[in-house]
Amino acid sequence: MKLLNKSLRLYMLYAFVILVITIPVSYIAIQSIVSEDVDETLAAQKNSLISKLEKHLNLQEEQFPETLSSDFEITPIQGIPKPDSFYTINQYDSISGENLPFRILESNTVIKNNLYKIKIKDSLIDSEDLKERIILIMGVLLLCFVAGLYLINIYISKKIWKPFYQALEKLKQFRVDKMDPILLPDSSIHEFAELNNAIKALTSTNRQVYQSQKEFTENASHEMQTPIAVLQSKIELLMQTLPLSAEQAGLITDTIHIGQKLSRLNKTLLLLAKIDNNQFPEREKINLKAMIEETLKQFEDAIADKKIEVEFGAMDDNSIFANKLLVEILFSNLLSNAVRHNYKNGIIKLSLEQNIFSIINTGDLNALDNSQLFQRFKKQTNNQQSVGLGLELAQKICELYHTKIEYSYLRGLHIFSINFFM
Amino acid sequence: MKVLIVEDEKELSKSILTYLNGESYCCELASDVKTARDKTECFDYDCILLDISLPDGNGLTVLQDLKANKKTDGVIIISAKDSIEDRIAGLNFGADDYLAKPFHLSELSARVAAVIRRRRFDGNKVIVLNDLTINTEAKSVIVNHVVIDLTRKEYDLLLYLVINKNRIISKAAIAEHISGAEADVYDNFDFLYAHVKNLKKKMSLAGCEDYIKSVYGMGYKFEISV
Repeated sequence: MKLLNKSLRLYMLYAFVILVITIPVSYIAIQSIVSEDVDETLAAQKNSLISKLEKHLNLQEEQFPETLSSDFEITPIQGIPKPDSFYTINQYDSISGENLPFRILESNTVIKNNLYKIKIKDSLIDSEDLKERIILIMGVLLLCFVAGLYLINIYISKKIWKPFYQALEKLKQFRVDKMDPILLPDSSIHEFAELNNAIKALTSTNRQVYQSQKEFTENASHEMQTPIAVLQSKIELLMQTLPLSAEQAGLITDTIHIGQKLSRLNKTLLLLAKIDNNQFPEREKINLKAMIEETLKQFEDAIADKKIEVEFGAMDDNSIFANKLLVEILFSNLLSNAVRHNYKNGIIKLSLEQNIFSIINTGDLNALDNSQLFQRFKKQTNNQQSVGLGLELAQKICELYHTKIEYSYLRGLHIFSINFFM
Repeated sequence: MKVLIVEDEKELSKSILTYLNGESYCCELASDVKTARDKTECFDYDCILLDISLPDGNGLTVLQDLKANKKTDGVIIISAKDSIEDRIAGLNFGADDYLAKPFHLSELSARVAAVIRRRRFDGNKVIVLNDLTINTEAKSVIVNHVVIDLTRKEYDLLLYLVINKNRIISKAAIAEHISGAEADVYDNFDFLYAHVKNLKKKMSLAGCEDYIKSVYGMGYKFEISV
């Protein structure tokens, strides 16, 4: 859930609760105020009526009801006087033709030593209208208030959180291996300004660490080239020394192999560092089909040696714009794997169809672990020649051209495919 | 034949010197740009092996001077910088070849021989060893006046062995030389055995002496006493 929604939801919940409570409470409150008011009016009318009656009238039982207004009635009663009581009734009103609410004051009063029951009534119709209007106005105002609160909150949140979302977007785009610096707009809000500073510091430190690591890899492999070259040359001279025993020859052969592996490892590391450092900017048009066939030639001896059958699927005449050396290395690595991890009389099938290059080879009867396949030094073979960098290199080259290698396994067949022109 | 080795890594230049001296080349050493300039100004070399990164500058400046002075010394760049730009820059400046470190001395020797052959204007592009004649221009091999029909790989193999004659060449070096692929593609070098066997068979059928020897499974050697 978005932060904005979360706070809004709370606000709205609060407003709703207030709304639900306020309307009945205020209704009851208004109701009681209005009744109190009416009751006071009725009591005042009663008092004035009683004093008028005492003053001006020489009461005769029969005279009362007819002479006075219909708003009150006086009936002589017997017994002990009861205290005043107020109540509300619905009475048919002949003018409006409907039942209307009336407030009644019933009072037992002694006038000139006679006990009378006085009933004074007052229409509540006006106060009902008043109550309804007040509630309506209150409701509308409250709704306006809630809606306003909602809109203002959205607006403020959007405006206030803008630097946050901008920073987030920049962070998403941040790549430690890309050189473009992270540019964050200045924020007047203290927290965001601090966040931006932290992000800037973090990313620049990351970059520096990454950069120095990259430089180290490149320098280290570069510096190692010469000693390896010296070592290999010395072994070659050692080979020429006489007399040479079979034992010495065996040791020299082993040393040569290790030297070669070391050299290969180092070259690959250097190449990886160079790709990371973007040192292959030149691009040219490369005919993929021709390039595949050319690369295959390098492996004809190894293929013949294992009696591997090479089959071709559809070979479209496609071209891409890329660095020739890198594409050569890419195909060479994939082919080399397909040959090396194949068995005698195995099969390699190559196809280039609708921009998708795929290389299928027979090999180990277990699928390779996709999660580790393209990682540095994660060897999934005990082949001694393998240094565990080939696929990482291939993947790096693909990444450079915004594509990637997909691996799948189907009944003893290992399939690597690349979608060019992605 | 004079060869100048411009290389600041003493051990490497010593190795190259030792190997090439055995090939009847007369080698001289220079470990920086200044020495290299002095030497190239005073003498003509058949081939100069030029390292690019030198303590007092870029080896390519030596190459530029040579070209500016219209010298025709053959130049092979040997560099640890296996980058395409260096390669292109080197060849654009007029280098004859480019070899990235680390390299096999046998490969270097083959490249030196090729450069010297190409630079010779006397038309002497034929190698004669007793009954064996190799015409490097026609890429043909003649034994007792009969042309032997060799595949391209067999020819490359023979020439490589002949140029490094009386030296043991490791199987890895031969494999890389004739296939162009890195040697680690191969689980073993059995395929090499097939090529060598075929080559030997063709040569012996033509009546050629058996010069090619296998040395303890380590490599091969073209053994000949001249």
